[in-house]
Amino acid sequence: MSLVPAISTDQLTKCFGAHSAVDGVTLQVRPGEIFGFLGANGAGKTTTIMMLLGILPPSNGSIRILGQEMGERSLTLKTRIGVVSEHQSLYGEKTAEEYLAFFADLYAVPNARRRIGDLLAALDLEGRRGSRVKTFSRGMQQKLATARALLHSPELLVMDEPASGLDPYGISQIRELINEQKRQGRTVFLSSHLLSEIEQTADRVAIIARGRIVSEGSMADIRRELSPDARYVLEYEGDEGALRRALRRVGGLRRAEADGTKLVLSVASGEDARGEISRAVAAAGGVVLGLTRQEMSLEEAFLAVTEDGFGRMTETN
Amino acid sequence: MVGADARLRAGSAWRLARRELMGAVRSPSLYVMVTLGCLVAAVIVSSYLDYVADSGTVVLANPLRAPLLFALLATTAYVGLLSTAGLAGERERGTLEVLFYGPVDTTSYIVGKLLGHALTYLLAALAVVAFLALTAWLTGMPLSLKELVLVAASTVPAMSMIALGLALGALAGRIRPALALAALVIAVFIAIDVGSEIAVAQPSDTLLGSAAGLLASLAAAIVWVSPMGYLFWAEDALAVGTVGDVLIAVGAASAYGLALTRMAIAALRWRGVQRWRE
Repeated sequence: MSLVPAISTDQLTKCFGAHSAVDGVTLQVRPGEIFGFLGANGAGKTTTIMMLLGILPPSNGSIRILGQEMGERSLTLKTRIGVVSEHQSLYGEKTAEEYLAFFADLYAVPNARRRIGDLLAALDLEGRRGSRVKTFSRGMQQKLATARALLHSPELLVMDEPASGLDPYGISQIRELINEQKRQGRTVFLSSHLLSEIEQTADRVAIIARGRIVSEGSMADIRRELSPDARYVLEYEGDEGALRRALRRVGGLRRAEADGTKLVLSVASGEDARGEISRAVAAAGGVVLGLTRQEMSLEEAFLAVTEDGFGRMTETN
Repeated sequence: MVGADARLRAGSAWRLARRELMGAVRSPSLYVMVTLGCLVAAVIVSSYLDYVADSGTVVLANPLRAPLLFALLATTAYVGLLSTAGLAGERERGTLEVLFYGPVDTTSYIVGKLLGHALTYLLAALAVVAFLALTAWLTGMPLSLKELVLVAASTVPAMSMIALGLALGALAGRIRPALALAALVIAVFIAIDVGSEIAVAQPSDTLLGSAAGLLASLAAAIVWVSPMGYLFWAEDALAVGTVGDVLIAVGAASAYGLALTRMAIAALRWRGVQRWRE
């Protein structure tokens, strides 16, 4: 497999007047990986993607796709990329087969009829190949757009909110299709605000907020970065006041909040603190009924980084 | 890589042109264009026949030249509007953006649209010629080879009109304002070009006749910017000039068409291909 990054951006910036929609985004997407690009609506995801595809010229910075510089006129490079955009803009009067045939012609796809048949079958659209696209549900249109993006077997697949409008079965089909691309050695750049989608499929993730990358790495990296405090949920029997005094001896304890009959403890991440907590409960004359360490979900991490994290980052800067 | 890009660009332009032509053949647009051209020609031929019926005789060197010229004028105006609506509509629906994900850039898109619409125009113009050939056979009016030359020459001003329509479609963004702008520009060109042609033939004591001088000055001023002006220029060269005059008229129209095509490419690059989202 090539060592050249599938996508490489350096200080990518897009300004609309005085407003910076994308502000100094530097990314490296490795070949063959599924890269999740996560952000709330308006965070700058689509603007970044439009620049990656040569649709929008950047105000500043550089873009290299599959080792080549990307621009509006990089036509050969564009034939190596497949795109599923958030807003499916299809030719409503054409049938599904005619639609795909037009794009197969545009991309000069060999054995186009067979390829179209295979893709329609893979996406459960074979029975509708002769139906006009305007009669399709949103989910079916999304699948058709995905088929279009895969027609020419692209090396890089860019997907902007691919699960938008799909039912759970459709989402599962698209997920399987994304994983299939990875198995075939292709790179997938998956942009979504659906955290579960990214969490289940992406090898690495970048989180964008207000046009800036606020976190990047594997799921574990992001959780670690965003969750410096480990959380322990303690169920106990005993005197709360005595317990709280005893817990002060636990190294790295930042907070202890009551949650009904439980205590939620925030401890600086590092060594497992369960032993120390158990000893503190015993020292206070209490009994541990249950003690669990909780991982932060990506959703919590996402919210943390897009709401608080941005402020934290700008302060640092 | 540059050579490969250029080959792809040419291939994409041709595929887009083919799509445009096939789309026109399968949709009402081509047939509306043919009907409009035939209708304009029929109205003028009918006025001649009425005149003959009333006065007994009319002396015209090429009686079917004017019906053909005005039919081509109407067809040119229509294809101009069609190109504006096509580009603005495609951007409004978001399908333009999807094309640009693939091997399409502003140059290949504009050239493809230009060729497709020009071929559509040529089909419509040939249908009008067929209609006039039928008229000639029925009425005994002569139809010379020069009329076919006029049709061929008119393709160049028609391409200028298409390029102008594409530029206006690229600039205006949405389909309704784009169409309104294109209709206004074309109406002004037609009013000045056709008005000056008609006014010259009127007695000077009539209102239109008295405005002939002003309209002729306006027409002379806009001859360089109105695609219709180039059509009249080619027709004049064909009627009273030499082959060289016809070639000069076509050459000037070609240079103007090229300038308008570059303008359309620049306009699309400037305004972008993305759907305008609220």
